[in-house]
Amino acid sequence: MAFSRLEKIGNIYTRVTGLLRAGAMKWEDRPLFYDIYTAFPPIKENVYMEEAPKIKVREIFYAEDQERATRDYTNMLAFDMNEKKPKRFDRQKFIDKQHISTTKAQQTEDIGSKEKLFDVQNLDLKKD
Amino acid sequence: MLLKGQGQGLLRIIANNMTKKNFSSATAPALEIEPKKDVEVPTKISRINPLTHPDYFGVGKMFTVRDLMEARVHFGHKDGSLNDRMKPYLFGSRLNHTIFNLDITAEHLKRALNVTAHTALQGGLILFFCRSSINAHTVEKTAKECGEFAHTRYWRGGTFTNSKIQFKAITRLPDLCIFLNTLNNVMLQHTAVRDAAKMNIPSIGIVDSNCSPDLITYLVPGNDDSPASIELYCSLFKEAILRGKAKRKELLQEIENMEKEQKDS
Repeated sequence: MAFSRLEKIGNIYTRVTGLLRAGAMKWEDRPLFYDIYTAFPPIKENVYMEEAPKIKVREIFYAEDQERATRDYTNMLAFDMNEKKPKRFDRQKFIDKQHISTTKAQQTEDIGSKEKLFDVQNLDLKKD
Repeated sequence: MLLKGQGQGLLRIIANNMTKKNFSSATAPALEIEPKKDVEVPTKISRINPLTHPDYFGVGKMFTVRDLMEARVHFGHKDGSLNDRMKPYLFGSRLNHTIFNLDITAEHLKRALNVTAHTALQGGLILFFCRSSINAHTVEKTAKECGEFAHTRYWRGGTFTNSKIQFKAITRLPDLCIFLNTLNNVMLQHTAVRDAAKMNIPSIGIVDSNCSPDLITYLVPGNDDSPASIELYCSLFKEAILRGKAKRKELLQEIENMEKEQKDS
């Protein structure tokens, strides 16, 4: 029974199809995967050492990253070592509340000044 | 090289009766095995060719994108080790850590699971590979539980290509290779990927961002290092194989009954 071992020339399907078409392999002797591959081919056909597509990988950033990068967190608790159960970090709570307040402000279109947006005094960090 | 398993002939008879074999012309083969959409599985399963159904084994409902996220499938390696051909499968990179696009992964995983189930239905031999020492035991256990095979140790060069001499007998090679980890322990592509392609064996591979998607028939882009993700893949492949085998048993039973009825009448 003929089989082609040239893995770089075509994928397994094209090679077996070639053999069947040429008559080197009988239809009854076709391998098990042939029908399954015909019905369910891979989403992208496998081509050996194909050129990589020129796509730029996007960098994932969120609105709160701007805040994370610029704000001074020296007086804000990052992690409380005394707590047995991991509680939500104060810093993360701050970011969450700020994110909620910014999105709310954007929704009502009442942004006003930047100080109003990031109103630290009125935020209650202990409330959860 | 490939020996036919028992019962495979019976399923082939059904498939042959429903597919046209037309190689007399020089054009591409006209095989009528295109899956139709919105086809209900009838109660008498031998009435339809399972390959015409878009999702005969209900593989699409076996997992959700949320399951993938919770198993940490979306985590890739860092930007520096990114293989350029894996770029289309990424959602992006978060502070130099590549993140996979789980919608794309889900699509690919469904296709891979479907193929696995159909291979099991036809009585195919499935071989699992995993060269990651943390996850090797999980993969071996999975293979044992679904009655298939696993090879998670050092891969000797001629195992596929020189099997007749190394095993000292004509060997039945697997009909499907599933790579839970496409790299070996020296971070090069596993030799069996190339050997499976050489020996016309389809391969399913979990391809991480630092792996090459070359020579793998059905790739599944995703994390291949976390034990959580490997456990998820193992459970899904095991479920697909068991469903395929169950349907096979049903189908063979039906064929037996049909033959009995024919004899009696």
